[in-house]
Amino acid sequence: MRKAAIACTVVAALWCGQSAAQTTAYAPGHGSPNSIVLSVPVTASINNHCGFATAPSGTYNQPDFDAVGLLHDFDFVLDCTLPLRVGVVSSNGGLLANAGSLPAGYIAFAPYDITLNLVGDTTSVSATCAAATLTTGSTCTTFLGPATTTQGLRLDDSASQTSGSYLRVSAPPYPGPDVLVAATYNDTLVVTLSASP
Amino acid sequence: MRIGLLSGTVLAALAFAGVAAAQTTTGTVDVVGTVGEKCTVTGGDTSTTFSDTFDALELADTDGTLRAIAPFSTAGSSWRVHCTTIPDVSISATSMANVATAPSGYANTVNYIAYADFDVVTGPDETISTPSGGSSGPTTLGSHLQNVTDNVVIRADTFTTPNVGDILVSGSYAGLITVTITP
Repeated sequence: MRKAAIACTVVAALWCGQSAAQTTAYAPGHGSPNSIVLSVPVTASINNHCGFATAPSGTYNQPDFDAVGLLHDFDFVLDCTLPLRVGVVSSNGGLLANAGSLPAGYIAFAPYDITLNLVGDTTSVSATCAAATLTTGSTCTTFLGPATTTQGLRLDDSASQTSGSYLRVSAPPYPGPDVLVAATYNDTLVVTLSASP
Repeated sequence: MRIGLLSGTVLAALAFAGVAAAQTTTGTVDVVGTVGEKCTVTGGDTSTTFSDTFDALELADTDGTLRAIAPFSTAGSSWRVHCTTIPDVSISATSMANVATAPSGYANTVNYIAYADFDVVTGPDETISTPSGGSSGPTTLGSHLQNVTDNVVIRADTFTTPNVGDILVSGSYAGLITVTITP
């Protein structure tokens, strides 16, 4: 029975590919060696990954924003094992209402600002652009999306699901001189993330 | 048997480590705001009120009857009324009245006609009016107010006593013109 067990051990070692030369172990009193030492290296790796653990989402609705302004944070969580970039694209470049043709002095478009704050494991970075500069192909060089390895606000850090990242929309009460007409205004922001080794 | 178990465990661990979980790289948020129907005032007394005072000074002529009083107007004021919609407007006016009693042949009231002119974006100014003691409106303007200073002008003219030749009793006379603009 013991011989059978030893023989099995040798077979296992060969199967693992760790021994090029055959070795024989003997039962005590029948020769030597009486045991065989097996060495099985164990290695593993974790692939780099980068994405939102929790992506920015949702709707912020502000009544009478012309009088009270805008202020809201869309929180999100980063999960990246290497530096990353985040970009933002605004569909309208501001808050826009479908109000048809308007007379001089009246307007159906309101500007606002977007602040992007990225929090990594050891560092953070923040920048602000006007929504008007975040339409496709526009001029916000800091974080106009879509994010690529070279475009977007760069966080030179890993982010192991750290909290504190947000996308903030803000605007003071509309200063005029044009009058915002009564309507519902909207904009959509698409936030993209890319690894940036 | 022991070696066999170990080998199986290692292979399983390696296989797990080699797979990166699929992750979200795009988020979408919507920003929505509304502008309610409202009217506000720039350059007025408050954000919703404006006023002016017309002092006709001495009302009586040398014979005690009402003298000829020039029309009164707020034209040139520094206020601007801005509404997020085409507004409704109305006007009311009270006669200039004196608390003193007026016997027959005398008067303690001066009547007039009050007007409000609205500078609108389409066409000429729109005007509503009423004799003092009455009111007019609400009336919806034909288009938005021009977004300019002095876009609402209040004025009065045609000052009269109840009967021609009435002698005005002495004292202070006061009336009020109220223009209401609602979104």
